[in-house]
Amino acid sequence: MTLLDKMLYALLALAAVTLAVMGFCPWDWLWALATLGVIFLWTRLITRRRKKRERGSR
Amino acid sequence: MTFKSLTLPHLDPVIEDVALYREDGTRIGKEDIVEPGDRVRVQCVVRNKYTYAGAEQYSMHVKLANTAAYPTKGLTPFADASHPLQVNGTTVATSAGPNTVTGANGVPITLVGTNPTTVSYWATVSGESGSAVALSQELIEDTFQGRQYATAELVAEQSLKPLPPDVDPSNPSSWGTAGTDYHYTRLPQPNVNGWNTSPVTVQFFAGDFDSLTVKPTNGDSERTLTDKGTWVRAGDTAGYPVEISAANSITGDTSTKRIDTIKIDSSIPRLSVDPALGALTINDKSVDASKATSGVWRLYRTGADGAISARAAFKTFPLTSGTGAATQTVASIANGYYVAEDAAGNLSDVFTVGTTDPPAVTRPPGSIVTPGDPNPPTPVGPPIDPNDKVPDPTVVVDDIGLKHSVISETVTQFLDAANPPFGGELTLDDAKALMAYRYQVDSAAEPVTTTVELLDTMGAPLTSLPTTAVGECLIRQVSTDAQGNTTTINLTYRLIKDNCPLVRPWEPADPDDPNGPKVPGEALEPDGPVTTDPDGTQHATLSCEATELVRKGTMGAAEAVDLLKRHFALTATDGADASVRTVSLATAAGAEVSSIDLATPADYLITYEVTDATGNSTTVKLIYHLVPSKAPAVTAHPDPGTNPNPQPGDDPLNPKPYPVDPVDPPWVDADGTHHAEVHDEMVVPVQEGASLSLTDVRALMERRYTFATAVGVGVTERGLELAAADGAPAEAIDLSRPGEYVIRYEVADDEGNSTVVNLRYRVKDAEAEPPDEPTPPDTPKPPSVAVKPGGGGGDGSGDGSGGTPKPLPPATTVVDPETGLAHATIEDTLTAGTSAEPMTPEAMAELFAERYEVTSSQPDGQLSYGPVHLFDADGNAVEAIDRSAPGDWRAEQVITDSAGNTTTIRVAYLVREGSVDGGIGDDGNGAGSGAGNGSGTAGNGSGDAGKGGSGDGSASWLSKLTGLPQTGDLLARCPIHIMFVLLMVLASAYGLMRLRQEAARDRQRRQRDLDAVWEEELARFGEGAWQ
Repeated sequence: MTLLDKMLYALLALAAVTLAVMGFCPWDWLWALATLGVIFLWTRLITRRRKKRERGSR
Repeated sequence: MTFKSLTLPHLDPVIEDVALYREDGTRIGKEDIVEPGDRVRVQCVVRNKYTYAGAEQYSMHVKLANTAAYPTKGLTPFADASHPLQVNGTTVATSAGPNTVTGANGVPITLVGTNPTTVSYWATVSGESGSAVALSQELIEDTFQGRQYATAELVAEQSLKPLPPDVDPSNPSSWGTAGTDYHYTRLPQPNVNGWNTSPVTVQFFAGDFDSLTVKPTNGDSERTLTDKGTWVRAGDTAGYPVEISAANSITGDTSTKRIDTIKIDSSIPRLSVDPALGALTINDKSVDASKATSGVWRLYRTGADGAISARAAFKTFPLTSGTGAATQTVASIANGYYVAEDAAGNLSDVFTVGTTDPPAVTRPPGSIVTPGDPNPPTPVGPPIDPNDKVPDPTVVVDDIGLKHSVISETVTQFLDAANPPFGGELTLDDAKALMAYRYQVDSAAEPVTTTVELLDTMGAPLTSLPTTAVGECLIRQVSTDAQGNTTTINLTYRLIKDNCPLVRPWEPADPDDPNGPKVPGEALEPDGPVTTDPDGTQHATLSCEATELVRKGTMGAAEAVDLLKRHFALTATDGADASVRTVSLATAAGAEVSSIDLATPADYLITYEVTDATGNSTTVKLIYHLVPSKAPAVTAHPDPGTNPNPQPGDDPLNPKPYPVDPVDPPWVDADGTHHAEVHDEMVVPVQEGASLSLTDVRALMERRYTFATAVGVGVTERGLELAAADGAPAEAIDLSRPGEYVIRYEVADDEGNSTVVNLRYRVKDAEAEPPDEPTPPDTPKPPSVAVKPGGGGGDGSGDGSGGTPKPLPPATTVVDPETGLAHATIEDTLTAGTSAEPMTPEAMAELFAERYEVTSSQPDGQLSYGPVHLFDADGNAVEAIDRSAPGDWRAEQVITDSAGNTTTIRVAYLVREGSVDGGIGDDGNGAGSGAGNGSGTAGNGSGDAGKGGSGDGSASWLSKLTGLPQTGDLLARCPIHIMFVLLMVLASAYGLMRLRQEAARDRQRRQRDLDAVWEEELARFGEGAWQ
């Protein structure tokens, strides 16, 4: 992952957690977990793809 | 060894003969007359009269005795040479000495066998002329000092006999023979003290004597009386001695002289009392100096009449020679009637002493409950306040002058089942404690003795009084002072039932038929003591519970009254109706609410005041349990065209199922089963020749209704009844002509929870009858509420020219069957951002006024707006909404039209972090968006920040966004939830972009690799070809 990837997904995760912490309703934490899950999924996909490319280049 | 007695068995001494002899040796007979100064010789013979004394000798002494029992009078022994003392003719003494008859030892003699021993001595006749001569001898045995006496009257008295003192002065015939049995009378006879109270008369009666001489010894002239002659002493005298003697001129006999001292006191004593000292003074000294004073002798305590007969003297004063002191004082004299008697026998007038009051009764200072006292005394029985004085006593004086006061008082105490007085039983000890708490007894005549009795109403002794039921007893306390004056307190203690209105639960008349007719049961007991106001009205508080099942709707104050009446009969004690009002509705935690949501299980505390016509009241604290209903819920699946009340939007040919809710509250039986009764209606057109049998009716009910049960998988039929409109049982429904029937269909689940469906089945002639109005014209309408265009809340209402008010349909509408008034509830949601400024009820009222347009259905259009009440998320009433932090709050306002119909606006007020623009929500019930949809452009106005937020109204999307529910369930269209979705979409979009980017780079890499391989092959091929 590039630095930009990390910064962007970290920002999104932070935003999700912040919204949940504000406590508008109890379901917000579930939404935040779902958002973090989506972010984790994409970071894994991007990381695997990049590693695969790097292995191919060698 | 102990000797009980010692005797000389052979000695039986006796003085056999005592005789007098003149100097000439002649014996003096008993009837002879001896003159004073005559010398006589006394001879007595002593011997042992024991028959077999033999020659035994016993030493003894002979003495002259002179005692009351053995007197010697008229003789004075002497001895000289010519008049020696001789024993058996032998001179043993010629002068006085110890061994003479008057000596200390007596004359020694020796008795030998039964031989007589003669003792002779000389004596001089003493005394008065004519008086008797008597001699008593004492014979002393020397060994054991045994004594024997012998008395002999030697010369009889030539007495002058007055009238004996023991005769009846009023009955002369009983006196005997005048002149012989008595020689004179002296009347009145003196009393025991020698006093007379009236003139004394001496009268002579001739007989043994023929003259009588009365000779005053003070020198007054004597007087000689002949037969029947009298001599009188009239004036008072302290002592007037006279000599009385009689003579017989024929025989020359002279009587003995009688000395009589006449004492006359004709004045009565006087009594007086010193109230300060309580001393009684008796004064016998007459104010007339010529009167004699016999002195105070006795004091009698008499009755009011002063009679002293058969009464013992209260006090007897000492007399000296028959005369007492002129005055006497008795200290601490008791109340009573007194009569004093002087030594002469004069009685005073009756004198009343009443200086001492009976024991006084007051309230003990330590028993009075003073208002404001932080440590009031613990009352025994009813408490005593400062105005509760001891009743005035009734004082009576008895027949001996003692005072007796009687105090009667009655105290009442209300029955208190929770805390009965005296722990359930009033015993004698309790009665004593009660009297000690209520009364303090003081007396000037200490000590005071007090007794307490516990009696029944008839005055019979009582062991105890149960205080758990109505009853009455008498507690009698008698306090007696040292004089005998008494104070009796008759305290009547009553246990009464209060007059507060009765609250009696409805109970089945037949316990075996819980669903049968109900009758009022036993009245509930108050929680604590009943209080009584100064005006006499009584007030009690009691607690009770009622359980009902949840259902749709709300319960306000009016419905709460119906709730109480459903469960309890409310009457005055005389059976008259009692009025009831709801004081407050509150949650179980105590937070007041304006209405109760009947759809949510919870506990509430409802306070009522039940009042009778006279002002007595009972405050009822009802704990209202709303529990989830287990009665099968009913859903109707109407056949097309059978719904008599189609709602707007309903498709008559494809009607929607609708729930049939009970009109009357479902109830809980004593066995815990839940029961409901619902009412439904359907209309069918007349069909020629058609009818529905019971089987068809059952099929109809099974087809039309489904039942949702909380227990088990289904319901079973309990009963099916068909009746005509008039209530008469019917066998079938005749569809061929118009008519009306009622089908009663009851089902129950496995546990017995049941629901009864009452279906009103109407057969109507479609042409003849006008279509039913959806709503009867006389149905009351509560005030309607609509949200103004852009109404309030800072939602960007713009200039208000655009848009029309959006009506808010009521969530619930309840029509009070008694009053016919409708009560609706409108629900809405507002969201506001956090703010340092709290939301007060007044600010909320302004917000409501800005946001809602309320219209009355009454012709006058008048509305009254109640105050806005604020509540927190738990339902607790608050004074203001704290907007400094996110939170959920609730606001309610009741709007009443001129007829009394009410609409309650219930708003969920949500405070969220930051600035929530245009905080108007929509929970699906009310319309929250104020975006104008008319000619105006939404959001082009300035947008009043209102009370809910700080909206700017600059964008319609913002209005739409804020129109979404703020939070809600998991999938609610909450903007926060949408933001999470956006985050996920953003993450996914970036991820896809990055994957595509990586794939492109991979392709580029591969292309570069291919290009390199191609170039390498081309180079290799070029080299080969070249070669």
